[in-house]
This record gives sequence, structure tokens and C-alpha cells, in this order.
Amino acid sequence: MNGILAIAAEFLDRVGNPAHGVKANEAYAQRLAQLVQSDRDTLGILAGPALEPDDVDNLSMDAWIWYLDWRSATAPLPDDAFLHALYQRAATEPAVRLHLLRLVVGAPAVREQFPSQPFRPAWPVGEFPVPWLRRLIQLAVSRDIAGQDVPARIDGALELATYLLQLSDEVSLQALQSLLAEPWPGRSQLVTSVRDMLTVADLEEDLMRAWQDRLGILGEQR
Amino acid sequence: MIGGPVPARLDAAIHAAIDTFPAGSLQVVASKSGTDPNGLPLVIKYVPTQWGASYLSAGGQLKISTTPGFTWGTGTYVAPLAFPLSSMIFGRIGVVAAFDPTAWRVFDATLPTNQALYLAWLQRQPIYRLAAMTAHSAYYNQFLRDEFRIRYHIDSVLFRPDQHSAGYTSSSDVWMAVTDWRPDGTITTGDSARFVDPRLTVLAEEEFEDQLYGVYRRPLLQLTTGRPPGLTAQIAAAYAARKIVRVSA
Repeated sequence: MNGILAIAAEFLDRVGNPAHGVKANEAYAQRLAQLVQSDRDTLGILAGPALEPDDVDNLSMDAWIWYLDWRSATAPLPDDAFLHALYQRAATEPAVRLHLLRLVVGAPAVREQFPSQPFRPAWPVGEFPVPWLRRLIQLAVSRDIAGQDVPARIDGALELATYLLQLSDEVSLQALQSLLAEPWPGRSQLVTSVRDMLTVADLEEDLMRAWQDRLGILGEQR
Repeated sequence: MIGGPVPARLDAAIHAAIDTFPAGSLQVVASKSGTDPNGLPLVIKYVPTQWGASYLSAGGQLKISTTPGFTWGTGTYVAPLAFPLSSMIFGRIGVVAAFDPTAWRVFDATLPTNQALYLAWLQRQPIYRLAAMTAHSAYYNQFLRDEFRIRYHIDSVLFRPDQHSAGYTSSSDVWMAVTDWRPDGTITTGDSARFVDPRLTVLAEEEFEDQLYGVYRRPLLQLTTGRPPGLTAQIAAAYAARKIVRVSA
């Protein structure tokens, strides 16, 4: 467990939690900036340490959103085990999940693995090159999630698909392609739902075809 | 493709709506905002008194705001010096800085047509439903505002004040949200590198308290009645001379 982070928890909550009000958020962020500027070691102490799964409870969800984004400017991504623990803990906090995904797909080490390839065939899920994202996709389409029937799993897969479509960078699109290509009982419903999202976007006919082609769902029956 | 699927016609309209400085309305307000000795236009940012000392000498930097729910997302919020009292509601310390907007891509959200473009873009986003219909709207709106600015590489958004105080803020004023970029084209946080030599230049004789959760900021002293004429030039001259202007009744 990261004791420094636990000690800083209340401070970071006041930086990142809108419930404290703009004045408090801004004041605490300014204070932190001032501390970091006057003592560069503070940055290393606060942003440097490895994060473990049991650190998830050290900060509020609001503080995690702020802290992980702030930390990403100078530190590499936290380990997958921590990211997974936080993503699972944030099951009812989609804003946290979306930010986590953005953090991972935007990390330089991840982006470097995905040169822009508009028509690349979908990675089989088991071979997707980003282990944390691969695990998320596998969990979404897994046949053996205890206690989850297909409709519940479709909801989970659609949640992930929504975030990936929102991000729409190269990494996210290739991940979405893999998610949509994987055969599982809810696949047809998932493809329909993603196509519906494209319809809501009111795309021109040729652009709609291009998106469906990009996602590997062009020509599939509704 | 960052920012989700968007119709080509809407995408083109948004691109067309973005001005590259010196074209567009930023040039209009910048030309009325005074200049530093190098001819760069000036902005002002009011901060609480406790941070004033950071800007008494060289080396201070304006801070990029990350607070969820800010009008245009993560960025540095300032007012062109053409509106010298407009943002005084945020603090007694007026920090003046210069900026070089050459080739900045500017989205003028004071224009209803551009507001409509943003709203049309917003409504087509995959997470729009979450932003509009859940309790987490501050986070989603922050996210979407950032995504919009990233997708169109917008250096600055101009917008009307959305927090007010009679006698200080006018609905015709213009505020700016300015973007600092990471090398990968995403938005960075920390200190803004967009502003040159921020200095404590204005001391205001007023305090405010929040009403309507800060949308209205009630002046407690109400000493300032109307905007003193020539204040922009006075502040610009004080900035150049390293002096402080005391804004009184």
C-alpha cells in the first residue's frame, strides 16, 4: 500500500472532487502546483510510487480521476493489476472507467504499438497487444462469468464499446474491432447496438459504410 | 478519428468556424487589450489573495484549471485586458500577462451559430446520453469539451461570462479558455506555457460571496460603480512599469 498517497487522500479529494466547489478545487490545485514548483522532490514522492490493487481504497473516485491524469504527465502507467482493480471497483462509476480507458489508450507506450492502419483485420481477442485492454475485452465476452446472464453481459460489453467508440483513437478502434469480431452469444445484439450508435450520429451514407467497414460490421444483417 | 463518429458536413462546418489568428474575433478583442513592451496583447486573471505573492516577481506561471465543470474544460481561463474588471469576481489579485496568439486556432463560442455547431457535435457523441441524463454530467462535459478541443486542435475558445456580478461583469464581455498541448496533441495540465511574464498588477477593493452556487457573485462592498474609463490603458502601463494599480470606487 502507498502510505504517502493515503496521507494525501483528503488533499487530493479537495483538488478533484467537484462537491467541494470550484473555489476549493482551484485553491488546492494551486497549492499543490506551488508545492511542486518550490520542491521538485514533492513531484517524485507523489507521482512516482508504484500503485498496488490495495491502493484502490486510498483515494476517492473523484481524486483518482484527477490524480491519475495529473500523474500521467510524468509517470508511466500504473501496473495492470492496479488498473484492473480500480476499473472493477468503479463498476458504478462510468466516468472513472472512461478516464481509465483514456489514460491507457493515450499512454505513449501503448500508442506506439498501433500505427494507423485503417483496414487492419481484427486482432483475435486473445492476441490483442495491450494486456489490460485484452483482459477487459475477454471479460466482456467471456462465456463463464459466474452469475451473469447474456443480457447483463451485453450491457457490460456495450458499456465498453461505447467508451471505445467515444475515444475513437487508433488503439480504441482496434480494440472495438476485436470486441465486435469475437463470437459469443451476445455478439449479434452488441453489433446491432453499435450500429444504432452510428445511426444516432447521423452519418452520411458513405461515412456510415466507412465506419462499419472500419469496425468490421459492414454487411452484417440487422 | 478522435472524438467519435461525426457527420462529414458537421465536421467541415466546425473546421470552417475555427479562425486562425489574426483572422477572427480574437484579433478584435486583442487589439483593444493593450500590449506589453514587445507588442504582445495582454490578458488578466484574478486570483485569490493567498496566491498573489506568487506573481510579485518574475517566474510565476498561470495555472491550468482542471476543475470538472469549467465552461470549456481543462485550460487556462483569462479575460482579455479589454475587459479589465470582468473576472474580478474570482479574486482580489489581478495578474496581467502577455500572450502571442499568432496562428492560434480560435473557436468563438460567443457566436450562436458556433454554439449550435458545438451542441450538434455534442449530441452525436456516444456518451452524450450519459452527459445529459446522469448525475455525473460535470465529468462527462469536461471530457467532451476536452475531446472537442483536441479533435479540432483549438488553442482558444472565446465565450461569454457564465458567472456574474453586477457592476463588474457584463454579458457582452469575452472570456478565454486557452489550451496547453502535450506533444501528442492532448491537453496538458500544470503551469501554462502560453502566457508571458504573469505579474501582480491590479489590487481590487472588493470581496464577493457565492450565490446560486457561484453563478452569481455578490459584491460585499459595492464600491465600484461602473467601469472606470481608461482602465485598460492604465493597467497596461502599470504592467510595463512593474507597478500596481489599485482599483477603488
